Amino acid sequence: MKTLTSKMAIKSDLDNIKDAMHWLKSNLRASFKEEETYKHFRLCVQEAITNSIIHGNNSNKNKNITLSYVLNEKIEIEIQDEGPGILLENQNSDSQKISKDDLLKESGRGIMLMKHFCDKVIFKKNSITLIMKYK
Amino acid sequence: MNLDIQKNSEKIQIIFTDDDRIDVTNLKELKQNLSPFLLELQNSDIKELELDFSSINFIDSSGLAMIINIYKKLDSENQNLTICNSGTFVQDICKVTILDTFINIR
Repeated sequence: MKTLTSKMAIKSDLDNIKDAMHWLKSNLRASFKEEETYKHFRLCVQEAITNSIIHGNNSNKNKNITLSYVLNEKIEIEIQDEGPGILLENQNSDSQKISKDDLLKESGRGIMLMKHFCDKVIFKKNSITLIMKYK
Repeated sequence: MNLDIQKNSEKIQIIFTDDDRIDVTNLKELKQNLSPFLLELQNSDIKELELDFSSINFIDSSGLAMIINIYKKLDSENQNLTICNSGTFVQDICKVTILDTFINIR
């Protein structure tokens, strides 16, 4: 199977998420058979970008978020920022392990969603890689 | 995002009318638009806020955070929050993030 790759970058501004989502849709929507699967994928990518803008780059508009993907039998997309990396306690967000005290916490649900809908979520120093089957 | 508001002595119903998502890209404007109705609710004897999600087919964790925040404010005043007419996507997301265990979502 042919492997497709592409890359784009945005400045760390929440207003730029729309551009990233437009890039994602025009490059990858057609590869997904099911609209619902694509929406879950889009959600996970958007969560990772939001996380990178707010927490990774601390909303510093001079810093970049880079998105790059490899598409073959599955899709592997990396969202990279210029920050210090994601705290281990945040990486461990999991709806199966949520305590009663944390039930009403307003943060942490983005990583929960990524872990649920992706086959694999890899945290590196300043990047998140999402791996997902798309057929 | 425009909101269609219906009120009676029991309930305020807010219908999202011209946007299909609640996420980080429109949240700031949405919070501003919702704010006066939440304030009105908190200063009243009205017992329920109903958010009509007929038009909403996408929500992210920032949208969920807003809903949890509203729930906590209302709950502290013994007022109820209901989300109605939600589609499969929103229901899935609320289930995965276990919002459905404390918020009435249908």
